[in-house]
Amino acid sequence: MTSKYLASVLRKKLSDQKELVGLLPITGFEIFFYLVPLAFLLIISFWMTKDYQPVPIWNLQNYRFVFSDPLVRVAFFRSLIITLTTLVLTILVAYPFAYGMVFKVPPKYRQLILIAIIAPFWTNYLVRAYSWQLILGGNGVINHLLLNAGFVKTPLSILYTHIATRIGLLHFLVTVMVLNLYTTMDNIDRSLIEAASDLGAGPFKNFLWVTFPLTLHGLAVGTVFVFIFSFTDFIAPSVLGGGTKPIFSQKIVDAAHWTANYSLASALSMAMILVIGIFLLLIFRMVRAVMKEEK
Amino acid sequence: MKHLDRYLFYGYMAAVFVFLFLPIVTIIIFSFNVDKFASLPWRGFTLRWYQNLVFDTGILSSLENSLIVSTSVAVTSCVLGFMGAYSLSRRRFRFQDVFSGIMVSPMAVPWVILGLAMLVFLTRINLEGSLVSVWISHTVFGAPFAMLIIRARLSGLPVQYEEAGWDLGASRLRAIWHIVIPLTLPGIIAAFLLTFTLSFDEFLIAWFVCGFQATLPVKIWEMIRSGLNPTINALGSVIFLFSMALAIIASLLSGTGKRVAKK
Repeated sequence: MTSKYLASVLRKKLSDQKELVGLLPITGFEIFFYLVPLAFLLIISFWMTKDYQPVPIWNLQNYRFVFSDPLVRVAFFRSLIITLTTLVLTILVAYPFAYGMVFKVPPKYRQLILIAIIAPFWTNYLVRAYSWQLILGGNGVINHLLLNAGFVKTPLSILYTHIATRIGLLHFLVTVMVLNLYTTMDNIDRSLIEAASDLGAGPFKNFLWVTFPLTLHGLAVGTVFVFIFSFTDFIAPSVLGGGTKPIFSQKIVDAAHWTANYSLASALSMAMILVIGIFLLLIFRMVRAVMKEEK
Repeated sequence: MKHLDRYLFYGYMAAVFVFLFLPIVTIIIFSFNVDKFASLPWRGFTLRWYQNLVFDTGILSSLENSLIVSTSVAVTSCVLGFMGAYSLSRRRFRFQDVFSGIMVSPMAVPWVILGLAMLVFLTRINLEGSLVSVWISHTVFGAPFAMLIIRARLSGLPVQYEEAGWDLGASRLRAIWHIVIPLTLPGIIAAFLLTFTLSFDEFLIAWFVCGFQATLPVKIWEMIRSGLNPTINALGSVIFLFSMALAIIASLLSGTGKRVAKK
């Protein structure tokens, strides 16, 4: 009796476990081809590179270089400044757009607008950067228009500066930010805003104390994405920024691709992950502090 | 006067759309320009760059490479993704949050780091420098992405449909084949198209691991590096229209366009 019962429980357990079998392939794949390579990258950052191969001679030389080399430091701060300014720029461009989409545009057009801003987002990022070359270059569209209109005497040099890098990044990231803001704004309970105006809040006050705090969540998620992407992007700074003022991600590619110093490239990568980790922690703290204050 | 602020917003949004579509429109216009230098003023209409495109063996072979890789990535991602999504939607288990976190992370890891990690690791196990290495590397982020999309679709599917199948004597696999897969098909197709596009457009990781087997973006990178070449405009225009069409089809099909983009 009991043994029969136990057997049936066991069988039930096993058949429940069977449902998890579907997870095995993807889990196995991600462990072997994703977690192991990342772990290996961490390991070789403590190795040395000889004859273009990482060899297991344990040392801290790579990290010492990363944290003391002046060129790396310059590249790091360049990346940081580009990232932070791009972040501000992206929020400034995307916020009013998302706000207009949710609060001003009639709902029947929203789906269309969504598709229209997602479509360019999916086009090839490399080709888009190249296309910005055509627009921003010395003989490009913008300079042609400005010269013909007589606004400038000599062509502006935008291409191959990090202003062009920022434009390329902004073009990609506006969509990300808009989509994040759109979803949080769309979830705002409109009666809260109406209540505030019934209680005498003008449009400006209403926005500052009711609408804006309710969008902070989407803003934070979008900010994280923008930060990670612009801090680590390689394409925009290379195609649009030119190679003369390398940024942090270009340092990694230089170390790996051109000098084949893989252990140094790994140490640089770990430093990059560290920076992202610190930024995530800061954002998380800020969001939590704001939430507390609201309560 | 009452609607003034509304029109201000419309004007602003139109300006943002001009910004978003500017590079796309520009490259398409220049792809028909006679001038060898992609610059204004306009010098006349030609289809020469498109002709060059069709007869350039370098571009064609890299296109072939890309099609092979992207199709393999999309198929693998959908198979792995569907199996995972099915299990996830049927069962909760311990450490599920940890599992989901790890599965999302390949899309958050900077591509320069993922590319480097794949290069170093694949070299170690002698799998570097081929289309297989690109296939593996792209599946690393393709499979979890497909799983997310398919899972969103599966979560809207009542378990009862499947249970009805079991009651009528279908085995689990049979029920999956005849009931679950047909009903999640739009999600699966969307996942296929999106992972295909992701892989087809990805440059940096492919550049790290592909060796001499250039995929199309790697070929484009080389063309941009080697300087002026209006054929890039023609090629870029074709790729733009192709990816946009795929993305629009995918987001219409799945209705998950919003959910996917939210990430």
